[in-house]
Amino acid sequence: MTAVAQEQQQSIESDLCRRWRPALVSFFLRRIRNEAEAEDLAQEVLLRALNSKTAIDQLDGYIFRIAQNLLVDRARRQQVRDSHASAILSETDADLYELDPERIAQGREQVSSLIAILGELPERSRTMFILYRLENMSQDDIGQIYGISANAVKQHVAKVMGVLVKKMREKT
Amino acid sequence: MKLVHDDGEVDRDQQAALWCMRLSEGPLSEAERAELTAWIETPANAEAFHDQASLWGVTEAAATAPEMIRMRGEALDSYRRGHADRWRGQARARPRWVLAGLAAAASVVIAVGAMTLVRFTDLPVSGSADDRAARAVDYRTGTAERSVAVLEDGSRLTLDADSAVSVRITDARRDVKVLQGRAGFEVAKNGRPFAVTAGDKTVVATGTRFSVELLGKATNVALYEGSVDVLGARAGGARKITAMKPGSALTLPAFGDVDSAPPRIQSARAPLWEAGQLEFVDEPLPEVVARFNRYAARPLVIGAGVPADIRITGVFEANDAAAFAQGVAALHGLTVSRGDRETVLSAGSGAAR
Repeated sequence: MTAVAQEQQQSIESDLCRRWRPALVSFFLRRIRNEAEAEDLAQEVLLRALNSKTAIDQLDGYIFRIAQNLLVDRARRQQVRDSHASAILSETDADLYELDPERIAQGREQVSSLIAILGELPERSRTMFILYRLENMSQDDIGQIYGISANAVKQHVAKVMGVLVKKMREKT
Repeated sequence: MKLVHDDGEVDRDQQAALWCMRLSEGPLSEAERAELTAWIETPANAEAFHDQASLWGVTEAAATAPEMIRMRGEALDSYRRGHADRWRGQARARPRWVLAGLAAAASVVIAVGAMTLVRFTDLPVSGSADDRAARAVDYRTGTAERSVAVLEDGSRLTLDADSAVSVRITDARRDVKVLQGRAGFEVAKNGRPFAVTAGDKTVVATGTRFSVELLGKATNVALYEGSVDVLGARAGGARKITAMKPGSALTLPAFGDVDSAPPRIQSARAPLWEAGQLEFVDEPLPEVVARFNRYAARPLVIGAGVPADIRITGVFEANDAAAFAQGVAALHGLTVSRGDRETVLSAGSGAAR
């Protein structure tokens, strides 16, 4: 792989991580209740997505099909020694697509709630959140324009996300 | 990863956010895994974490909603302004290579912003073709920033410092309006006319490389490759003023009839400004100063008593207006002094301030 291609690959990898890793870990964690294994599975999903020939703009939907397949494979393997596994399998069938981006897009209420809540935030909080979360900027870069440390940016964004979650709970 | 309020209460939702942020950066260390496992054993923490992860997904899904695109555009604008302020604030204290780095960082942001806005135009539009035609995308640079953007049709736009253009691409045509400063174009060949307007003059191209600049009351066109037609606005439609040949440059009044002021034609070589240099061939000092000021954190001002007929020839570093001012002062017996916000060129040598 050339240096340029490698750099591109790395940037796609970190982009995918940034966009999907927390949701994937949560997805597995709720079904497996083992942090290490949930993280390994999330990593496996991202690796398979990276190595697939799927176009970047279609990866998002693909990621949740891989996640589903991994979970089903795992449940089948476990069925041999664990009679409860069949219960896991049927549960996962029911709400496997809950994180599928199309599903989420269909839940427009959540999207419009989020947008409304974001619009009500102070400008500085909204800007920091958007730059970090959607423009993939580093905490360092964001800190530079506000004259604060990367750690202060991190704490501020976490605070904004805490507020967002609370307000989302109120609305839905 | 503790987050404790002044009153000692731990906010779960913020901690959950910190864990999501950490997870988005890559695999956890053994110690972090153990910490997360212990933390998430508390059911309320687990709930907070899953809610936060769900918000993470919802945010991703909301990324391309029109209202979100608008907020993203504002955030990027605000970031760009923050960068420009910072640049101005520190310009004096920092060595030059740092300035170049900051300027480069700023231009990257522009490109990101442009991509975001272009994505907006890609969204499925339920309205008519006219609705789509009504949507223009603006590109803008601040002082000392230069940026390159690839337009929707594959054409390349290079924006000089302190410049702005508005781009409108439809199925039938590609229209660019130069609002301020200078823009260079490498036009992708695809049959649709590519028209660039500055003042009431329009340059029409197919596959070619050229730049259009608004400078004071003039529109300057330089053609590097291919051919373009230059049109002037007339009651009842545009009128062709001239066809240009590669390697030529043209100066026209931005507005009004060219017959009263015949076009000034010069030779045009490779566009040095795209590489951060400014080249002048026998040009009046006020025009040269106006060009430098697109880059200068501290603008140059021509003070009282400076001869009106000074003309400039030479190649200069665009980001070093100070060196240019010293050079001109030495050559023409002028004085350079520093005002609060500007550098002033004035008559009389040795008369400091």
